[in-house]
Amino acid sequence: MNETFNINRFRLLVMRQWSENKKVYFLLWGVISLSIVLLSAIIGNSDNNEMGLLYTLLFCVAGCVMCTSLFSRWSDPGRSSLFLLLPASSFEKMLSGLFYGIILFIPVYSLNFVFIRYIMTYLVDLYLPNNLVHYTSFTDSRIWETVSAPFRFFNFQLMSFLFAQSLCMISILSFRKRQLMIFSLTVLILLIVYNTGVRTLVLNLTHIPAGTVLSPGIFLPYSSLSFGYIGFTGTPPVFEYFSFIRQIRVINDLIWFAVFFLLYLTAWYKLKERQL
Amino acid sequence: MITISNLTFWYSKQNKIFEVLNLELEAGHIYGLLGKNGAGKTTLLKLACGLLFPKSGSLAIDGLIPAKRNPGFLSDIFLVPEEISLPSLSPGKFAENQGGFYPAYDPAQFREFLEKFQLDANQNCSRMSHGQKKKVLIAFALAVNTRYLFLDEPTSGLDIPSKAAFRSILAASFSSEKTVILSTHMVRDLESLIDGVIILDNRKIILNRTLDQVAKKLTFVHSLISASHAEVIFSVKSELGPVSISLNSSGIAGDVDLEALFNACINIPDKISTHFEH
Repeated sequence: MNETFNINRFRLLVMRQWSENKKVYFLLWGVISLSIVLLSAIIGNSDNNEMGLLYTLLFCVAGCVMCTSLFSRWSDPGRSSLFLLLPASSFEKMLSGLFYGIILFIPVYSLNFVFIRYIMTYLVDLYLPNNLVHYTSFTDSRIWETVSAPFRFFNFQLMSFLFAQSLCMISILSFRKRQLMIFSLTVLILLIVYNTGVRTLVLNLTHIPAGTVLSPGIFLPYSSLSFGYIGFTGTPPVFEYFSFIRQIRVINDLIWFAVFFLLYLTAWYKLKERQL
Repeated sequence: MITISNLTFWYSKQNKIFEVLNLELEAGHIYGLLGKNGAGKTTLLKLACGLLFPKSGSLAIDGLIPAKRNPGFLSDIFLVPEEISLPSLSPGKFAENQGGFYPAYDPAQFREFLEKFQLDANQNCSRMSHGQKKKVLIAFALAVNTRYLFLDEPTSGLDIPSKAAFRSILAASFSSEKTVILSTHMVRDLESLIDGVIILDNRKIILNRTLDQVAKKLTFVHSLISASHAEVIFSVKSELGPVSISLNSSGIAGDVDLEALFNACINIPDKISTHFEH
């Protein structure tokens, strides 16, 4: 018997997961869809950057909620013994969670986002031709550009998603109480440390005009979908992008990729070594 | 065979649960695991399943280490924990989801056991009482036909007819290649099932014998025999009346009162163990 991976056991795990969680998945789908409708109605489509940020924010939040529903059974004493003792390897159990949490979630979420935005645009243009909120064609928007460009997608949205999801998974597996608070604090601390590091790099490696104020935004290093920083000078402020050389950008991506790999590896190890 | 060698376990170092524990359990028996609250009954079952890992020493089931939780090992054991939480599904759907993982799972047997427990296979588990959920899991645990079955307080929360049904189902599905360990406080519920008894106290096993061995060494008399009687080693008042334990000089095996035996082992452990060693 192959003790690490067996396709039949994996299939059973995937089916079991669907059977036990389908109500949660449909509920989550409904909440996400409603959030997309409400938030994009508020934002409109006047600024594609904001729409991209909405996409990413919901992407990460929904990914974490999904992750919580997938792995919460490891923290629930009643159910976790049933799940831990289910005749499948820890690798298969984790993989079946990630099958829903990453492999299915990303295309389903993205298609859902695209579809809802398309419906909204269509309906608004049909019934409110002179609406104040200007909805542009979805294919012209930043979100479509992002989803359809794999490298860019990886560079910002996917990185944020994997970062949030892997940390969320470790918080669920490591702590039995106050998981949300610990997770939020960890994300905040890591982003502040990362942002400070990037600022230090910008100050030391790029030529910044005198009087430039560096924006303190946490996500700004990725806001132009390449690695660098935004600063502004003068009144009214003129924004300027300070880009790193390609080698630093590649190293940054590789480091993040290694970090995700290690975070998921840690989560798998914690599942394997979990005691009740 | 379950083999435990020099096993030590603790949740906090100041309060050790087991210290250099040794135990061997053979197939073909239904063992009753007895002990006071906090003696480590549940912990021992969790160690045997691989839900907890020994701090030192070893525990092996047929040479396999439970802590590795290999699928091959897991498909041959089943634990019914005391606290049960089932998914929001019907028992039928629950068994369909889980049964595929166990090679010897018999769906017809599961349905038969549900009927004996008077449970509806289509009722959602989320609308069931604790006792009903426990019966669903017990029915499933017996239908998967694993060689090792661990039940933690199986009769707690069950009504009187369900306790009787449990005894009859377990007795009917038991076979010589299986090993069942029942942890319980309610020895009267399971007295008729158990043929081996393990008593835990003070971080160690103070008795591990079959009931035949106990009956050949001790006689249980349901009346108070004068304490001055030379062979009486222990007397206790139980809810069924006074019980006296004396040395069995005839060698003819009688009935064993598990509750009295447990009380004797807790109160005079040295005397009991010395007697069994001879």
